[in-house]
Amino acid sequence: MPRFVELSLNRIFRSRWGVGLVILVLVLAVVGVGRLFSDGTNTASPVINTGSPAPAISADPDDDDSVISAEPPPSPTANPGMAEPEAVAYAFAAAWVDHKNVSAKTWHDGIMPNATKNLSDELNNVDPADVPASKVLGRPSLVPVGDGLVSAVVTTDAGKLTLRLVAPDKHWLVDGIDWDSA
Amino acid sequence: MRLPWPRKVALLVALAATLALLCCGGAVSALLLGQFGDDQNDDLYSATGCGSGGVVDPEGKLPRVSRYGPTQIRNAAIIIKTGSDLRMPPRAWVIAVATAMQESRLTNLGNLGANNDHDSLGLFQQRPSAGWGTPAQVMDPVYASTKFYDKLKTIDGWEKLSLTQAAQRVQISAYPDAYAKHEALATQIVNLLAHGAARAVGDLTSMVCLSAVGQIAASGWTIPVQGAVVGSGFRTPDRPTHQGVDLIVGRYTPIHAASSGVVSVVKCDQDHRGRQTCNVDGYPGKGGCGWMVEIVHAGDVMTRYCHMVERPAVRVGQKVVAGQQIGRVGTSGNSSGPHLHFEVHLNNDRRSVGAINPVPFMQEQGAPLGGSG
Repeated sequence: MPRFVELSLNRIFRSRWGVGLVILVLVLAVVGVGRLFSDGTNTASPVINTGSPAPAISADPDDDDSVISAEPPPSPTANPGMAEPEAVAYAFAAAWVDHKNVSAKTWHDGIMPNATKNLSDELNNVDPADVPASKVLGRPSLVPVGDGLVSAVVTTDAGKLTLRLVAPDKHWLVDGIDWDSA
Repeated sequence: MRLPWPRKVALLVALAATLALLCCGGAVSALLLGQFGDDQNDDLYSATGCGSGGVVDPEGKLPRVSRYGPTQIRNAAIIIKTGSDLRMPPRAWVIAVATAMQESRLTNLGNLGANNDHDSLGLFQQRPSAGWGTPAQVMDPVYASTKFYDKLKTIDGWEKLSLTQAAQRVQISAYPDAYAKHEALATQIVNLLAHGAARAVGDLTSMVCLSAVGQIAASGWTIPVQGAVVGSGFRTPDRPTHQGVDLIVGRYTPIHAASSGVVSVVKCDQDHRGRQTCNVDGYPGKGGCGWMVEIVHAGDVMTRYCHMVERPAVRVGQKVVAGQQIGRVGTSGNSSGPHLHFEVHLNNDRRSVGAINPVPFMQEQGAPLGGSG
């Protein structure tokens, strides 16, 4: 028997194919042990019970019942005669940063023409001194979010003004304001 | 059958490799993935529960939160403790913490000299000249928090407003949406400092988990359909491309916005053949979401609601509050029976890769997606 083992080992290790085979077996063994180990930790981790005897709602398991395509929203458009969203965003931002030596009412009157009623109400009684920027730098960059919903980023001397524009009836107005200081 | 020697070995190697891939291909990825998400704080501060454990003592040992130092977390603990002492419900604590994150990064700011446009001071940047108190008073975190809660209380229906709307009514800032981006981390901080209080019913002081129709957690999240069971799960072995969960519930059941936000998509999703026929029942293999809605929430979390029975009750650009009805359950599109296909995406990424498992996400927000089975 030892003679047979010796012969076999000799034959295996003399050939480069044999050595390859041994390495492969070793790799398989390591991966196998790793698999057992990972299975153990998986069962130990907390699992929220979603398993259900209820039937899958789609018969074909390859079938995804989500959206067919999630292509980005279309570029914003405006009705003829109405202002483009970029122009609305720019006009709003220019009025928003114009806060030095103006009364609260004058400042509010300046932003109102390009704001929704909702935003206009939210900005009632704002002290213009709270506006951190005083100058708009460059053109607004538009990011479409939905069909009739656009985010406009306006760079100012003190940070980034992000406006949310909506278009009820394709008439673009600013409905939300966020701010990140530079 | 006799093969030349090298061929035989090549065949053997190929066979072995194939077998290895079949048997253990998943093991390496399983080893590499699936071991993340350990919370360093969880042995000290319960990661479950709905706040019945009470609020943490600001003078005691406090947990760590990545972006904020110990002093800032202490200030958050004072804000929460003050709210609890004033018998304000936990939704108010989340709003107050998020507001202070925006106004002062949870730092008790003194006068910033030339950088101060005006006389704002303290955690909430309150102005002595606007009647908030003396400079010394608004620099006291307990006083400043008390003033914040006192004003919040006077706002009619503040519990139902989105976080940023409620905060704006108190603060009257020139950029009203700025508070929203702090909602997720403020929720996490309240959970850590008050034993999961952001998972409790938001407008009750009794610190109980959600149990009844129409309740909204202090995190600002609620269950989109009542009485549903979770059917097909998220990316299961059977359905690896299922990017959401199927909530099985009767036709015409109202569907509610899971959290406040802005509606970004309302449409009849076209099917595999390019048809837009959503007013009739769909079938498996038809393809598409049917009548559907997408809502973008604070922190660029997006939720998607599919297979509605009729044109949704909202329009693009509309602001919705948590719990507001947006449509009704149906079976339009790729569907074999009435259910709500519900998805949660991060970073407002509409693609499949942006989707996460809604079950643990909603559980963490205190709005678990109903019983299973």
